[in-house]
Amino acid sequence: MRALFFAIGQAFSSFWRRSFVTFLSIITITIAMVILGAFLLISLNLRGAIGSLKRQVQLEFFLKDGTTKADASSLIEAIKGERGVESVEFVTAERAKIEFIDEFGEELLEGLKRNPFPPSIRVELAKDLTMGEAVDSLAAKFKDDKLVEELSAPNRIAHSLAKASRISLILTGLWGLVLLIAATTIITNTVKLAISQRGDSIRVMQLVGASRNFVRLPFLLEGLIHGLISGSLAWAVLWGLSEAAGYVLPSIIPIPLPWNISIVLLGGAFGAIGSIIALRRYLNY
Amino acid sequence: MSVLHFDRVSKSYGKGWIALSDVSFAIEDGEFAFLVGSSGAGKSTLLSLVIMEQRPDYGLVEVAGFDSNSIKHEQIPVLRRKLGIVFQDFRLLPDMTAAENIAFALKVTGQPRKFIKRRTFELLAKMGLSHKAKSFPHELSGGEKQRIAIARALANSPLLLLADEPTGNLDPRATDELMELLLEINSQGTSILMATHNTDLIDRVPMRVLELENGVLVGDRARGAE
Ligand SMILES: Nc1ncnc2c1ncn2[C@@H]1O[C@H](COP(=O)(O)OP(=O)(O)OP(=O)(O)O)[C@@H](O)[C@H]1O
Ligand SMILES: [Mg+2]
Repeated sequence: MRALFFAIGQAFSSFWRRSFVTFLSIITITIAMVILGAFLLISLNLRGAIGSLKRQVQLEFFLKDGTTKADASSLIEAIKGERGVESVEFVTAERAKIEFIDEFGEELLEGLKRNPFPPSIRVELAKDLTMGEAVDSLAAKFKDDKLVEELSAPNRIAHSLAKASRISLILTGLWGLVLLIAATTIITNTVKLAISQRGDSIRVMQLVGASRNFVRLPFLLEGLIHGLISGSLAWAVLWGLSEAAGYVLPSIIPIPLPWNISIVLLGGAFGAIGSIIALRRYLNY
Repeated sequence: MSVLHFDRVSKSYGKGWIALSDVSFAIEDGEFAFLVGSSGAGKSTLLSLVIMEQRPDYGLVEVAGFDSNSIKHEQIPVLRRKLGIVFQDFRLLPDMTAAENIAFALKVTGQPRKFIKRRTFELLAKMGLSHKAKSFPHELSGGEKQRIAIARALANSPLLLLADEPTGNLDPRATDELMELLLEINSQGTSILMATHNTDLIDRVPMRVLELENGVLVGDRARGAE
């Protein structure tokens, strides 16, 4: 208990006395946490973007003119039974025309006597990572059906999207790992720098009979405080970044609260662990 | 009873370099002994074995109820609180005032706050440095720093005071004052082992002399009754 009070006092007094090194280590941890957080923000939004793109991926079978929903019912049922298919919808020629007018206006269709749009079957595909193959097999299976005249070709898009999202997942993991290792190294080295000035003091404390924990506690607390401050600063910076980005890309997903809290706590953990690692070589027992 | 006992102690650094070779001696309770020898003879190494900063390669060091074979890591601080240690370079904590440096040695043992305060001021008074209580080490002279270091070493009423060249950075007058202080501390019952180069001092102070030469204990002269 006494040791704890001593440690708290030491941690705070050294905070002011060694303001430059304190400043340096807080800045370092903050930068590391901001980079980690910014990366999180980017990969979060990238995945969000891919997710919403994928949701738009459809396969559309254009049918022969005059095909009715009743004519196509067995085909619809067959498609519904396929793997990776989320929903199947029959679109009449009239609706296709209305949708086109909604999107592009009436002018383009002026002068046309008959409705140029065929009826179609729209297939909504599951947001599955291996969707590319599902699309392929679906297309192959039904493109020769006697009712099917033509096939929209989103295969390539689906393929590359699936690939991109798989790669982005792997990259996210790898990058996260690299950043984490880099942050740990940088932080430990900064703390080492901060502690090296006090290496002699640590030895002296042990010479007069301070126990290992007695020596360690002030450094641990100091590291923890630096880390928590850094984490909070990083939170503020990241908030500013995503607000600023919000002006350019209004649909940006901000970092969710639990992640923000994790950044603060991770900063604290970095500070504390960095201190313990850096202290090891100065402790005689 | 002996507070310190070396039994056939050897210590080498790395492969080959022998710093201490088959050293045996004892320091009795209340005894004062000089440890002499030319530079590199092994004096500091011997003292580092006493405080268990290192362990001997062969032989046994017994000090204040602990021995080098069986002492556990977590007991080392407990041992050190029973010893007082003074160095040539003072080794005060630069961030702490004179009073805080002394108090630190008491804090680590978990003494009550009131006791720490009283004891600290008692020691400052004894060293004649009450007026420097709030000075930081860089604001003190060498002699003052050494007296603060001695006050810190005495804080926990040690069984044995170890001094490694304590007069090395002091002028003749400060040296004499320090020697007087150490003899007074010794007369109150604390055993003292003091490593020194200062032959002049040894000639004037008629106490036991342990002499090291290349890590071998070549002389042990008891001179109290000369
Ligand atoms: N940590 C170490 N690693 C390797 N060799 C060492 C180490 N410490 C001391 N030595 C060697 O051991 C020998 C004894 O050194 P020690 O410091 O005990 O001498 P000393 O008698 O205290 O000398 P001085 O009077 O100069 O302080 C020396 O030759 C020294 O070079
Ligand atoms: Mg020496």
